Amino acid sequence: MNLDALTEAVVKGKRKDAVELTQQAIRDGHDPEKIINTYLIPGLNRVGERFQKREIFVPEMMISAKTMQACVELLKPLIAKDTAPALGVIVIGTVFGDLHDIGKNLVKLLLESSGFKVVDLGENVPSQKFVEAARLHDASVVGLSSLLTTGDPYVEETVKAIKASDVGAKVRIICGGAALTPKFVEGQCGADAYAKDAADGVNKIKKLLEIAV
Amino acid sequence: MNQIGRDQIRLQVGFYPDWFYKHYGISFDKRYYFDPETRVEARLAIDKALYERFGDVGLGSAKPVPTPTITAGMITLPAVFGCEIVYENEAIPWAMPLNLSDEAVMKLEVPDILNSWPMTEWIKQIEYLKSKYGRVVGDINTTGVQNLALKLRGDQLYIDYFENPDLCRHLLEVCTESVRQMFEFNFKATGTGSVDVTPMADPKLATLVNCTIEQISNNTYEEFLLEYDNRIADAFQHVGLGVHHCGSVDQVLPGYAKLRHLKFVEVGFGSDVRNCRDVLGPDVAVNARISPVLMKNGSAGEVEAEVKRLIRDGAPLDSFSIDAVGLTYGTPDENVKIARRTAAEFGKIGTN
Ligand code: B12
Repeated sequence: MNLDALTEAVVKGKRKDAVELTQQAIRDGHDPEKIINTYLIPGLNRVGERFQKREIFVPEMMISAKTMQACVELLKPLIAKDTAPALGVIVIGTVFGDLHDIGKNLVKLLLESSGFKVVDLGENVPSQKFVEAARLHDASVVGLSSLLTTGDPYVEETVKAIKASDVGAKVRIICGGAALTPKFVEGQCGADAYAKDAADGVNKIKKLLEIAV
Repeated sequence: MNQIGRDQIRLQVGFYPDWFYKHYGISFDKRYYFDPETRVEARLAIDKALYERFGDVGLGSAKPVPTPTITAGMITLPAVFGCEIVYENEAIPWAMPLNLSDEAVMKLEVPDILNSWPMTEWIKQIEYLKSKYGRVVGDINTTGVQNLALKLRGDQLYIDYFENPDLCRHLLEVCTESVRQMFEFNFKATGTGSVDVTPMADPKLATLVNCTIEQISNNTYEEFLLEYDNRIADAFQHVGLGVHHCGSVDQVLPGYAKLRHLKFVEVGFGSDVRNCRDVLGPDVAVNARISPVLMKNGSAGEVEAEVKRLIRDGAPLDSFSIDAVGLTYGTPDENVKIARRTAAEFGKIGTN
């Protein structure tokens, strides 16, 4: 079965077609993580490019995002495994002013399936909420997601607020999302790691916590 | 309204509430909107402050006179439909979206606007101001068809455009009729239909508030909204139609060119002003906007270059204007002055 049609359905925002193709792919035994990484995410990346070139606009971007989300919902139960004791608690959220949550949700999914307990603070999260949640849940790692360049000051503010807080010495911070670069995250903000995608994120978190990869 | 002179284009500046609040302690909280005398006093303080700071470039007034004004911000129709309104000292009032369900949208009807809060309040204020000062200037912002639909349905409207066109049509019908009734009220009450939207349009036009059209494609505009905007255009053809647009107008220009009785378009920064003038023709006045980000973070030289570029692109100048609105705290005074001076010097009408 040719799954390029799935990518196309995400680009065009054909939710019903995409859901049917995903169901078919699952029946055909395709690896769920591969479906996400090889067919769904590249589709959404193309959507981003077309948006930037002003070939499409916000409604088109939204319907593509919904399409992707519907497919991920089908794949989720196949990815999340029941794991024994958690490897650690990760607090995750999208920074203040930013409502993008698809990337963050995928990171959460992969972290959970890798054995971590994830506390999801949602989107548009102010810096203090990250600090409070890290304290409350005794987190090992805080993960920030930021897709908008206007979010840069909030990433920096949040990293600095965590580092300056009573939990600062214990908690590691990792950041990802389209707006960020390793230089900004690790250099200017002083976070512990930048992740280019969800798999990279899981690996780097394991490294930070000295868990064998 | 201060114009440097009549032989040159108008370039207006407008400051965001935080600018007045942080510099002068002038507040735009609920009292500003709900107590007409507070507003008269605030307007006097604004005129005085602008004169002290920018009198040399023609802003403000040395001896301000009380101006009995009615203004509401973009919240009246959303509030009539039940949106919560948030007021703040240093921001414009904001309506929280209702995010109505499919069923709730399909049950929507045009409310009894004139007998609903806050219209009842504005009507009382207009009567009060007329009886005390003998006149009232301003009008009630009519919100705009898609703007209002987004307040009622939330962002889901954008998904509905693809997946539930019937729901969209019902919602947009209700919004259009509500907006039409607001214009009708304004023309009866104060005789204007643009003042609460933009100072740059002929106040007598019915100016559509299209802040969110920037987010959609021309296809979506023509398929869903053009028909409703034209309904407003036809209803007020005796005065003519204006459009206030935020951000780049480029993609929807073909749609706007199909609007009937169009007399004025205000386009946001990033728009191809030359193309806009070519497509709409010399009889449609155009106001081009300078980005408040450039005004705040750009150098005086960059602001000057932007004003010159707009003037170059904006001819014929007798139907062209520029404004820089939403200027926030931290915008250098020098940038405001250079914008005004550049327009005065290079925006001579008849020399282009
Ligand atoms: C879908 C989308 C939307 C959807 C979001 C729906 C949702 N529920 O999230 C909607 C339509 C609502 C939207 C709105 C807007 N968007 Co948008 N959007 C996108 C788009 C196309 C895809 C984002 C996405 O989901 N990608 C897929 C996921 C899987 O990738 P990801 O988020 O990058 O996440 C991966 C990695 O980055 C990493 N990662 C991410 N976070 C984290 C966190 C941790 C801890 C770790 C370890 C890893 C990690 O792992 C993830 C999985 O591999 C991007 C373009 C792009 N290529 O990114 C634009 C984009 C981000 N949006 C953009 C813009 C401008 C906007 C709007 C301002 C548009 C508008 N005018 O209204 C609004 C902003 C609303 C707001 N306040 O947030 C711009 C941002 C430009 C800029 N310079 O900042 C982009 C880049 C498009 C563009 N090229 O211009 N958008």
